[in-house]
Amino acid sequence: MFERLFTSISEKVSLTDEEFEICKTLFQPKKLRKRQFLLQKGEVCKYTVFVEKGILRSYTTDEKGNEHILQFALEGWWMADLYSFFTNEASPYDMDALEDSELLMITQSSWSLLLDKVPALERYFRILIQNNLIATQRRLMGAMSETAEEKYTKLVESFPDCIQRVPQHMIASYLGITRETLSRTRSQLASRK
Amino acid sequence: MTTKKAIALIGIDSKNCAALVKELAKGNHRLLLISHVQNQLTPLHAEVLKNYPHADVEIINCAKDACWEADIITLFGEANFNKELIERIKVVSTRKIVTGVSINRSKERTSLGVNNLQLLLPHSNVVQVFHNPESPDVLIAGDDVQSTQVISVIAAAAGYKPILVEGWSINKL
Repeated sequence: MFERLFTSISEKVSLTDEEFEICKTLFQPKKLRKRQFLLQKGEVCKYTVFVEKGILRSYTTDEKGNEHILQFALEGWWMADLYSFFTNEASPYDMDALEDSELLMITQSSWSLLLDKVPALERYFRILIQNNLIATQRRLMGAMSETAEEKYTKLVESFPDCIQRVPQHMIASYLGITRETLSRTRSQLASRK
Repeated sequence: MTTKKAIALIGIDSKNCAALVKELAKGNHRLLLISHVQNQLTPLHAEVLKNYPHADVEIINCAKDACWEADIITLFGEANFNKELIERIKVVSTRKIVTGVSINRSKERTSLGVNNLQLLLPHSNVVQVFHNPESPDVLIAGDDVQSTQVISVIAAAAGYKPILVEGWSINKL
């Protein structure tokens, strides 16, 4: 139940067995079925979530009913609306499961307690936030300046698993391109091979 | 829109418990009825859907799986004393609200059951609920204020009159 979380932590910091046991007491295990919601627009994001198994997505829906996907979270990834999580303000996002998923969820108060009891995790979360900031900057630059082909190629190289498991229309939404453009781009790339 | 809470219901052993389940089915919840005996809860399941066709209610045979999916775990009557069951669900109950419900039992037995629950599930937020079916009142007690408030809201939505009791023991009334 905690295998991937502990692997993720161990890749960045060293914890004792006792510290891992403390972690187990502060995370809430949760199974979410495909298409069930974790969070809906207008609610406060009470948990930050680690994905042990499955895929989550966070997205908004515009007035025309079009979905705009902000993020996917596969096994070993974290997901939350951090602004809502830390400020207790309503989230503009929906979050749901694309597959049957197994999650580890932690509230803000439990997270603060966790960092008090296991100070080494301050470094772990600092590294995660650092990496997230870098990735967000790159994605922002990519959204402004990259071609559809460049965006898609980058995604395939970085997250090949995502391409296999996520429907194409959602990939298009995430990349900020139309389904038709994505389809054309994939055909062009395939024909060059 | 509010995300549905999944509520696991274990140990439904009487008509009174069944009546409570039917009231809960009215609300915006996903109800997971746990039954180890084949077809034991099928009539209740059918009755709930007959009265409330849009109710989200499912029978699950595995208590651990149901509690893993649940946001709130509810143990009725003698299930509060089933050590083997509680040990099985312990690992998936961490940080969740676990409600020990006593319907028409003595307050002493109720208190004993819930104290037992808290000892066996030290990392869960245990809430005790005592209900006499002859009254709309539902007595709710627990250490965690947020958890007792959540149960209070659910009870009120189901048409009961929740009364929050300070401190642990219903014997203090």
